[in-house]
Amino acid sequence: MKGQLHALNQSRAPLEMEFELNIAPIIDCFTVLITYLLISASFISISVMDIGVSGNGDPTATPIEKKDPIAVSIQINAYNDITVKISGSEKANFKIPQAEGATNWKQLVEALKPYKAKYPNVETAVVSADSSTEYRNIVKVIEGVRESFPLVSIGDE
Amino acid sequence: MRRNRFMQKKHTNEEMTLQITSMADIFTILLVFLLKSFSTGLSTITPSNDITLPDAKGGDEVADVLKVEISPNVILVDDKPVVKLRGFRFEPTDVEANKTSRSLNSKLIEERKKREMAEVGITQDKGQKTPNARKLMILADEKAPYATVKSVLTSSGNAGFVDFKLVVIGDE
Repeated sequence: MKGQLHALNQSRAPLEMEFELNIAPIIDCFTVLITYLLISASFISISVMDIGVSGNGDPTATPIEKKDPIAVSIQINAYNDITVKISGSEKANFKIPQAEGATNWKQLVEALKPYKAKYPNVETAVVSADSSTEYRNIVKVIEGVRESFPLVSIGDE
Repeated sequence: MRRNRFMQKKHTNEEMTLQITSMADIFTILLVFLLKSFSTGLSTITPSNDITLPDAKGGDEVADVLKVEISPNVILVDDKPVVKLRGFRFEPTDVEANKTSRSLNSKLIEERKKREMAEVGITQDKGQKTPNARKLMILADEKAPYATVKSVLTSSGNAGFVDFKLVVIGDE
């Protein structure tokens, strides 16, 4: 019976061979790769801010240009109020009060923009704070100052 | 002949195939996402469990530099505890006249010398002004007071480090 069937099949069109794609090895590779990537993945984006330390004594510490027309100094008090002092060709001294218990760094960014526009070659600024000021407030102020003056150094109160 | 209803039906021998096509789809998407977020370099910086880094926008380059971590109870230099703190404050017996920590000062000087000796003979990049041995990375908790951070920076400056990098959690 089977043989007859075979003979019959020979005179007709060849049988279509059905096959199944074996994706088990691909799944094995994927499992290993995903396990490795999950272990090594970092879901928090860490970045870095370059700063200098003023008054360090090392002349290479902060490339402060003494010929800058203005000197920019930012001070943060214990209540997170920011005082901006500009000295040199132009003098200014104004205060930016805290916002929601933290430094109002956004207003600081806006306040520094006109000085940057007027003195585009000035790139340095000094940030200082009260001893009890929290580090996160200082970092936020440095971030804001860097938008106008990228070379920020941390100084004494 | 009527089949006895109490007779158990014989199970036919059927092969059960597992449908893993859907799993392959999920794995492919997951793999593409993880490959995209996979990165080297900065991913090796892992702060201690008791440090919450502040949020800020960084964007500067990082290299293999000495790491100093400031947590509420300890200061770590290259993952090794060096100074004990109490609520971010130094022990009074460890503080010198310039408000820096004696143990931290000696450790930083030792590390800087070690790194400089290790870098002897290694050619630096042409554009790099400061050798990596004199660079320092600070991972401080967001609640650390300025006095402590400034003290660590002063100690680092006195030890010969000139380039400081503050590590933050930023948006890319």
